Amino acid sequence: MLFNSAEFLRFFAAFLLLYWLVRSNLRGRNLLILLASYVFYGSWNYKLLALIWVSTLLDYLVGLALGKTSSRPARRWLLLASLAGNLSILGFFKYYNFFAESLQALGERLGWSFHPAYLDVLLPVGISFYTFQTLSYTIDIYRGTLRPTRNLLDFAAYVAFFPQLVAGPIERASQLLPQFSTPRRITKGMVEEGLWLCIWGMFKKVVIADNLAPLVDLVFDPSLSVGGTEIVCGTVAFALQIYCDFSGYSDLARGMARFLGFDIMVNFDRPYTATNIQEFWRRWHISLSTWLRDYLYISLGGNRGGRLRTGRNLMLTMVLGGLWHGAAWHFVLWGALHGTGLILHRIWSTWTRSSAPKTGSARRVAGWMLTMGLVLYGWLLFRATSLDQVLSMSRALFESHPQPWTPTLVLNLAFFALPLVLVETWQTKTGDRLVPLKLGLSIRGLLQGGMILAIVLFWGRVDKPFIYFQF
Amino acid sequence: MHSHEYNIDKPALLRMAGSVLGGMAIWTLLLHTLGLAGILPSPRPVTDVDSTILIHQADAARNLQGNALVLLGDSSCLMDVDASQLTEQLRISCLNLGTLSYLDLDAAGQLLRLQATPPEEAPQHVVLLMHPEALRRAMAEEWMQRFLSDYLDGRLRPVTSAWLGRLQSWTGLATWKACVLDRFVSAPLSGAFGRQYGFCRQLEDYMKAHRGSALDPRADPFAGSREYQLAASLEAKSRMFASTVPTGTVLSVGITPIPGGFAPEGYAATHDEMLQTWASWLGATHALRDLPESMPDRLFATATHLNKEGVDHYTRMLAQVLEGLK
Repeated sequence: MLFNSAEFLRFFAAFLLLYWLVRSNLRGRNLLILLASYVFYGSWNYKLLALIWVSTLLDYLVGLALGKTSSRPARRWLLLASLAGNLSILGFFKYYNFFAESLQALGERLGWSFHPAYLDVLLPVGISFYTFQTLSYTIDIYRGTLRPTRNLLDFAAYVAFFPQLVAGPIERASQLLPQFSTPRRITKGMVEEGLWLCIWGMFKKVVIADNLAPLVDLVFDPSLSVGGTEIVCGTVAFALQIYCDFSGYSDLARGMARFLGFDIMVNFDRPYTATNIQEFWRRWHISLSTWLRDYLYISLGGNRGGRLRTGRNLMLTMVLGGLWHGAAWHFVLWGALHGTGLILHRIWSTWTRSSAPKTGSARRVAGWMLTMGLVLYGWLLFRATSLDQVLSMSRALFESHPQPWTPTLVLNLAFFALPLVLVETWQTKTGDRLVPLKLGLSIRGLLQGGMILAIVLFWGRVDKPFIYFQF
Repeated sequence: MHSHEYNIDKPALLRMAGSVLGGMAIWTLLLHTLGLAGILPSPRPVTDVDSTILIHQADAARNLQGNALVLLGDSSCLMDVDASQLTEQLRISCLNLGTLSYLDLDAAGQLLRLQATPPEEAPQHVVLLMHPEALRRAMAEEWMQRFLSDYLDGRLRPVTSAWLGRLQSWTGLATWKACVLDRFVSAPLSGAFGRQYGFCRQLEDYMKAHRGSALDPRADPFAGSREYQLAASLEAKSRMFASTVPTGTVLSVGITPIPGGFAPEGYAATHDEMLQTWASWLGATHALRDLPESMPDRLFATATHLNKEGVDHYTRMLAQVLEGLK
C-alpha cells in the first residue's frame, strides 16, 4: 500500500474517521494506530509482520530489564542481546547475499573454489528504519538518557507508527514515544500544516520525482553509451528525483502525523543549498545523519583522540552509512566519498581556524559549487548499478557522445525541476519552511488547489515506488 | 482519559477546505474556458510509441500529399520497409503510412482518402503490406480506431472508464494535457524503444526523416501462433478498402515475411494461396508474389518485424519487385 495509491487514500480516510471516533480513549487510540499500522505493513507481506513483532518484543523486554538493573556487566550483556538480535535480523535479510557474493568473488580471485548457499528471500520493507528506531530506544536506556516504558501497546505503536514505518524519519523514542502516552490537541494550525505538507509531499513525489525517474533510467541504462552532458543532466535529474522522492515521503509522514496530533522531526532542510559538505549532512536525511552521529560516530570516540582518530571515525561512520542504504559496493564507495569530503572539510576548517560559515558571497558560491560537485558525483556512485558502470560513466564524463534526445532531456529536466526551485528559493529567501501558510486563505487555496490538480494530472503517469522502500 | 481533542471550530475547518476546493474550481473554470475559447491548439496526445506512430501517420497522410507511391498496412509495413531508401532506389517520392496491427483496413482506407485529397494529388501506386498474423485477426481494437478518428477530427473524447480519467476530463486537465503539455514536454519512451529513440519526439523525428517508416529496436524471442489463415471478416474489409483506392491508382498487395525458423511446414504454399485470395478480394492490380514469404531468423527483431539489416534487404527486394512491374 503506497502513499501515492488510491488504496492508501481510502485507508487513510477510513482511519481518520475511526480516529475521530476513539478520541475519548487513549488506549483505544493507540490500539487503533497499532492495528492500522499492522494492516498497512501487512498489505505488503503479512508474514514479515513477525519480524516487527520480534524486534518490538526484544527491545521492550531488554528495555524493562535495563531499567531494573544497575550492574554494568548485566547492562552491557542486555545491550549486546538487543544489538545482536536486531542486527542479525537486519544482516540476514539485507546483507547475507552481499557478503556471500563478495566472499565468492574474493575466493575466485585467489584461485579458491567457494560456492556459498544464496538466500532467496525478499528484503522486508522498512527493516533498516524500524531496526534503527528500536535500537535507539535500547541504547538511550542503556546510556541513561531515557526511562523504559512499561506499556507494551505504546511501545509497539511507536515502533510500527504507519506514517513513518517504512521510510522514516527514524524517530527517537525520547521524542515520539511520550506522544503516545499523553493526550494530543489537534489545532487549526496543525491541520493547516498537515495539509500543506501532504500536498507538497505528494506533489514532489508524483509530479517531480516520478517524472524525472524515466530521464534517469534512460541516462543510467548500462546498454547505452552516453557522454558527459547526458551524464551530468542524468545525475542532476537523479539528485532531484531522490530528494523529491524521499523528502516527499517524509513530508507526507509529517503531514499525516500532524492530522493525528503527532509531531515528527524534520528530515530534510533544503540540502542542495548547502555550501559545505558538513552542512549538507545537517540538511540531508537528518534523522539518519543524527542517528549515525549519536550512536555510531560518538560510540567510536567522535572527535576525541586526535585528528587521525577523528578521521577514522568519520570514514567508518560514513562507510557504514553507505552500507545501510544497500548491500552493494557502490554504496560503500558513496559513503567513502562523503567520508573523504567530511575529513577534507574538517582539515580545511581547522586550517582556516574557523568552521563558522563565511559570509563572502564569492566564497559561498565556490563552496556551494564544490559541495554540489561532490554530492552529484556521489549520486552517480549511488545510482549506478555496478562498479563497472561507475568506472565507465566516470570515464565518459569527459567524453562526448551526443544523443539526438539530449535537448529533450534538458527541457524535461528544467520543466519538472522548476516548481522545486521556485518553492525552495521562496523558503530560503524567507527562511521559513512553512512560508506558504503565511499567504492569505484565498491565494493559498489557489496554490494548493493548483497543486492538487497537478497531482491528479500526473497521477499514475509513471508508477514508481518510493526509492527508500528498498533500503 | 481523553486521547486527543480537536481544538478547531467547524467554520475554520470549512473555510480551509473551501479555500482548497475553491482554488481547484477556479483552475477548472480557467482550463475549461481556455478550451472553449479556442485559445488552445488542437489536441495532440503523443504519450507513447503507439500514439506517436498514429499521430505522425495521420499528419503525414493529411499534409504530405503528392507522393508517387504510398505504402499502407500494419506495423510490419511500417517497420519492414524504409520509405526513404525506397525513394532513393525507385527515384520516385514514396511515403510509408503503415500503422499498427491493432488497426484494420478501415484505418488504412481513412489514411488513403486523406492522401488522395485533392484527387489530383492522389498517389499513382498504393502498396498494401500486411503480416500473416494481422490477416488472421483483421479486426481493429475499437479504442485505437477511435483514437485515430478523434485525432483527425481534432476532438478529445472525455474519458468515462476510469475514475482518474473522468476526473481529468471534468477538471479540464485532459484537454490542457493533450493540447499543451503533450506538445511541449515530450514523454520518454520505455524499454527498447526508449533506448533507441529516447523520447516520443525523437521517434517522430526518425519517422519524418524516413518518410513515415520506423525501426523496431527490440530483439525478442519469436512468439505467437503459427497457424496462418485469412480471417473471414477480411473479405468484406478488403472490398471496402478497394473502394477507397482512387481511379487510376495501381494497387499492389503483399504479405510481409516471417522468420524462416518460425515458419510452419508448407508455409510457402499457404502464403501464396493467402496472397492470391486476398488480392482477388481487393481487386488488386498486382499480387507481389516475388516477395519472400520468409527470411533468415537473424534478420528479425521479433516474429513480426525485421531488424535494421532485415529492413535494408527487404526494402531492396521490394524496390526490385516494384521496378519489375513498370
